[in-house]
Amino acid sequence: MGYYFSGVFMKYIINGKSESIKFEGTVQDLLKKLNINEQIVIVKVNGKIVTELDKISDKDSVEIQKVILGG
Amino acid sequence: MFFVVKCSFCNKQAVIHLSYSNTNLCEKHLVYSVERRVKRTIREYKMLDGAKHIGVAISGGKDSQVLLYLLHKITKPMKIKLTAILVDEGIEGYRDKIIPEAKKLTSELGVPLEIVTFKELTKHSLDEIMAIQKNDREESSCTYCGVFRRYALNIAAKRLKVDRLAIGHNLDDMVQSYMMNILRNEDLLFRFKPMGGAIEDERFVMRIRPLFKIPEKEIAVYSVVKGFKSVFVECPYVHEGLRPLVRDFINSVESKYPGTKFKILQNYLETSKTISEKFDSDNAEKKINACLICGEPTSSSVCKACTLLEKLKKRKDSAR
Repeated sequence: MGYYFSGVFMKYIINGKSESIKFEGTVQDLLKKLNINEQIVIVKVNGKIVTELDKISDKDSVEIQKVILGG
Repeated sequence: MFFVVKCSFCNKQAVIHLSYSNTNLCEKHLVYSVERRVKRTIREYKMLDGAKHIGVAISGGKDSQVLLYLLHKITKPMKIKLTAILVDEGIEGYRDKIIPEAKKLTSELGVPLEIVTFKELTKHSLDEIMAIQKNDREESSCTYCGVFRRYALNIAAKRLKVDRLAIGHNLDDMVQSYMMNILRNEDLLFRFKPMGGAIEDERFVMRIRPLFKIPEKEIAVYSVVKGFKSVFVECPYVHEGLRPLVRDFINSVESKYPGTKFKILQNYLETSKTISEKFDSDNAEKKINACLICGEPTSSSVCKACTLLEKLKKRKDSAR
């Protein structure tokens, strides 16, 4: 599963389906809005790993990678 | 970004926020913190005392990559031999995608890799077992997988004559197993204790779990920081088990009440100590038998793996 965001309107892909969402705030807020627990993902902003307390601006490129998987 | 979180110990950008201790760590301090805690756990439980040859159970996933890397780093000056053991269950689109990563890491570290397959031990891959059972299943895929994995690891460990078997269970795995144990009203706390096994017997290879106090998220970030290439694929059978439900529940409680996982672990360690004393006294006179079919150690006359194989054979014969 991978999500890709760009700008205030973010585009993301879940199971091959592309979506977009209007958002501005912290990474934690974004994950809450997407109903994703912060403990199962790593978030990269502009290619760097960030914490959920970092705030995202509309110029950032955001990638969320689910890293806690079953099996 | 219009707000960047800094490390609590230096001025660098943080890569992880530890809500249970309200600290932020940069790459360097996360690596330092994880390695220091793993070394402390190994010392606390004397996991490597007297060890000459350690089998490291690896899957190719992030936890076992970190386990192998750290044990390699820690044991190198001690001249302890390591051998990686990979159990291939035969799950198409899952294990076959991860095995190349395991091969790559073991080759980079110069650690020999032993691959054991369900097929060679049980004549069936997990996919085949599930196909035999079809929709009319008495046991879930996780039951077969868990029993056969333990069976395979014990056989491989004995074949390689290792004196320890290191497992990459992290804090999340431990608390999930403990909760599942409660939910199923099972008495299997000994199965995932930090060091040791069900019964101290020379036919059981002693398990060690050096990562058991490290939260899974920290291991995941550590593995990315260290540049391990992990293939993030999910086992296709995972949703059949109880674990995903328990995992999601514990994660949601942890988000609201940081530190919950450590509290559950503490409760487990205290409870298991009491239970293991009872377990040891209960088993003091209990004889460990050799399985009548395969000869592996068991407290019954036939081991769990052979019992499942017998069930499967009956199922297969009745379908003909």
